[in-house]
Parts: sequence; C-alpha cells; structure tokens
Amino acid sequence: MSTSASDAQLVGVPDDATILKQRRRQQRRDRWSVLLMRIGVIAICLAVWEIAVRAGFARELLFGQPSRIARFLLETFQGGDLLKHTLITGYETVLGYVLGVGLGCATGFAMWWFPNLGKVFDPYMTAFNSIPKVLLAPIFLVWFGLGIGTKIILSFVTVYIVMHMTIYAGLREVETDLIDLARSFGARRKQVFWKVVFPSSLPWILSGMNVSIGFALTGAIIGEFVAANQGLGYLTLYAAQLYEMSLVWAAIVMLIVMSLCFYTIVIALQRWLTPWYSE
Amino acid sequence: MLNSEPNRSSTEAIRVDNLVMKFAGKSEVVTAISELSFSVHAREFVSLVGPSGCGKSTCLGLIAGLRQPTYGEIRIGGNRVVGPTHDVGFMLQKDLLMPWRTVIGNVLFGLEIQGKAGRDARDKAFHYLERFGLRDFADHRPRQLSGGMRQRVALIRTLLVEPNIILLDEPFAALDFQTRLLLQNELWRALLEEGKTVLLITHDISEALSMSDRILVMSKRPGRIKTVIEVGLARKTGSPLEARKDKDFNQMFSHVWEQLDVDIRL
Repeated sequence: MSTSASDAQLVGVPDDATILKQRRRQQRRDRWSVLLMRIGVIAICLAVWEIAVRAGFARELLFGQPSRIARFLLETFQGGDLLKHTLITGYETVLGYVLGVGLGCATGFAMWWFPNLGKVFDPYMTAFNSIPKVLLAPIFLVWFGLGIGTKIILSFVTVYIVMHMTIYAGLREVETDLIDLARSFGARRKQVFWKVVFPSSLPWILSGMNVSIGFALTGAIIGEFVAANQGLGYLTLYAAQLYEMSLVWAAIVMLIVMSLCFYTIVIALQRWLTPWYSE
Repeated sequence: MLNSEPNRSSTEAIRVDNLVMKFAGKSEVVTAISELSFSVHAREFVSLVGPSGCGKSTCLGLIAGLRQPTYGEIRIGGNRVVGPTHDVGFMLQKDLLMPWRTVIGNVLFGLEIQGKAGRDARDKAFHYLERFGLRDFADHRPRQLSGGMRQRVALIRTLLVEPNIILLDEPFAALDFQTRLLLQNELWRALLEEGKTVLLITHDISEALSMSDRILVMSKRPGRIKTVIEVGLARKTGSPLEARKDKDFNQMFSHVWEQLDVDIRL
C-alpha cells in the first residue's frame, strides 16, 4: 500500500490501492460477462429450437421440444417415472464405481507389494483393457440375468480395469530416491508403502477416479441398453422407439445432472486429499 | 570447539576397503568402482572429487547401506555395513521433500519412521527451523519455498535423526551461486558445531576446497583414489567463505584441477 520513494516525486502516478481496486473491478466485470454469455448461448439455442418446432420448421416427433422437455423434468419432482429411472441408474453406477475403485486400488497396489505378480499379470491386464467392455455385456447377461446385477458388474469391470492400470502406471512414477531416503531412516516395507508410495500415488488414484466416472456411467447404460426394464438407458431407448424425443432429451438432462454431481464430489475429494497437487 | 582439529588418532568413522561394484548390463558388466579404499576420521570433513561417472554417487549409496557391494567392505565406526543404519544420514542434490507434507512434517519424517516423533522431537524441530530462519514457514508446503530454503529443510530432516556421519551428494548443485555460497557456509558451520563426520561428493573443486579438511581425488571410471590433498582452509580461516579468500586457495585449485582427469578438447 505504500508508494516507493522514487514514485513520490512524480505527479499523477496512481497509488497501489487504486491499481489493486482497478484490477479487482476488471476481474469482477470479466467474470460476470462470461457468465452472462454462457447463459445467453444456451438460452438462444433453446429459443431457436422452441420457435422452430412451434413454427413448424422442425417436427416435435423427431427433434423434441424444450418446453416439453421442461415439463418432463418438472414432473420428476412430483414423483414422476423419470426420477425412478434416474435413481436406478445412479444406484448401479455408484455401486459399480465404488467396487471398481476399491478393487482397482487393491490389486494395483498389490502389484507394487509383489513385483513379480505385476510382471505376471501386466500383459493380461493390457489385453483386458484393450477389449471394448461392451462385448462383455452378453456374457454378464447370461451369468447374472436381466436384473441390475449385470449393470453393476459391467460398470464395475470398466472402472476396475481403468483404476488398476492408472495406479500401476502411477507406481512407476514414485521417486526411487524418496524410497531410499525412507529406507535410510530405517523404514520397513509397510512404512515405505504408507508414507511414500501411497501418498505419491494419491494424485494418480484421484485422476483415475475422475476419468472413471464416465466409464461407470457408460457401463451401467450399456447394461441397460442390452436388456432392462428400468434405468435411464432403458428409458431413452424405449422413448426413442415411441418417438417421444422430448422424454429422451429429459433423460439425457438427468444423466448430465447426475454425472455433474459425481464430478463435483470427486473434485472436492481431489482438493481435500491432494491439495499440494491441484492448487 | 569451532576450530578443533578432527581427532585422527581415534577410530576411523568410515572405512572403505577394497570396494568393488559391478553392474550387470545386457551383455556386458560395468565396473563402477574398482578397488576403492579410503577412510574418514571422526569429525573430519572429507570431499570426494572426481569426473562425472566415476562412481562417486554409487559409493555413497553403498556407504549408506542401501545397496551391497560386489566385493570389499565398509565399516562405520568399526561395524561392518550390512544395511541402512541410524548412524548415517544423507542429503542429495534433489531435496526429496514430500509435496504432501508441510515443512514441519517433512522435517519430522525421519523421526516419524523411527517412532520418535513425540513432543520433544517437535520442539527440537522448531529449534532447528528457527536456527535456519524457517520458523515462519513451518506450515508452508515445499513448493512455496525457494531452492535454498528447501535444501535447508532437507538438512534439518537429516540432522534431526542425529546421525554421526553425514553423506552429502552434491547438495548445492541445483542452487544459484549466491545461495550456494551462503548455504555452504551455514551447512559447514552447523555440521562442525554438531561434531559431525562429513563425506561430501562434488565435482565443484572450489566447493570442495572451501569446505574440506581433505580432498580425495578419484580417477575416471572405474574410480579409485588417485590423490589425497590436505586442505583445511575453512577450519583455518573460520568459514568456507573466508577460505575462498585465502592466499593458498587459487594455487590449491590448480593443483586439484591438474589431478582431475578432465578431457579438454578444443
């Protein structure tokens, strides 16, 4: 806040407080204009869409209509079917995700603990990773039936392999000198793991968790596509067959909202657990 | 205590005997160290100077007990080294601070491993932080610190576990010149006051001259001791900075330079 001695002799040099104030005002202005433009873009798109349908340029049957989508979404809060389907998909996704992350971490770290195990399984894991998990859907269908079990397993398998591969890659990035340092202090293997290896790989775990959200949702939805009588995947397929495009869009909106919730949670976890990394 | 001579009549702090270290490559065996023998007396400051790739750092890893030599033995205070011991601490060019720990957390890392990170340890850690001007940074994360500050934190981490012997592997190499001189001074004084035995690995001749009692010049790979040069300038003048101003400094510099197998191709 002080003016330095050399400035003091010049006339008209703005003082530090003024410069700071100007900068803050500019930042505030930028933030608001970006926000307004964002809202504007989506509002214009929706308006054009709505008008096009009402004026008869586009058929509601093929494209849906924003006002009808809104009505479907509003019904959700009055206990509509959309909510039920969303919750089913959410349940499958969360369960598959949690299981996948948990087991992926466990086997990923086991590869560090038993280095030879890593060498044995690495090619199989890579091969497993390379197949599109959709191909497994029919197998799981046969094994686990038409219920939500199949969807959970599909979601789980997809997340699991991603988590395992990410952690395995992350383990190779752990600074060996840091492990030596811990050993020079007399650290046992368990201490090396919990005090060096695990915290070093936390950023990897969390970025794996971030990527996995999409995979978990995809796994559940594909499961619902293959065979189901509930869930958002089933609903969109069913609604599209009936040319109820607005319902399809409403389901997609619900899916976006749901995945945004998941992302928010994982990003919060990232900020909390790896503040040194995300700052 | 400051200018006391290292006690050369007492048992050797470090004794390296006929050390051989070979690494198996794909089809050939690389000899990193061959028949290396030397000793460092208690409370002595010795530098190991040699061309790049002469096996200096390998030697340090062996003394720290992190790896086993192919042949020969190392004794620390008379005991044969078979693994890492609490008696030896080391500090590398990389500060190896953990980004997820705060400064105080990093400093206490060694004691925590040894199950000694109690209240006393914290008090002692703060005492050291105070001494190195880092008291106000105790809760900062390493990346908020400058290179010099980070190396100070690494030094405190090493000192806190109270090793008698400190191995330094080019700990100043990544620092800018002013910081390097300043830190050499601080570190030298701290180690001297605590009566540590120090083995410094460096390829910076002036660094070795300004800090050491003795310089061991190594030959090219496979490295062995080529010449031993008695220095003691810092002990004579009172600090590494003063040592650099000593009248003998330049002459000794040329002497060490001639001993080093540096290929000069113009």
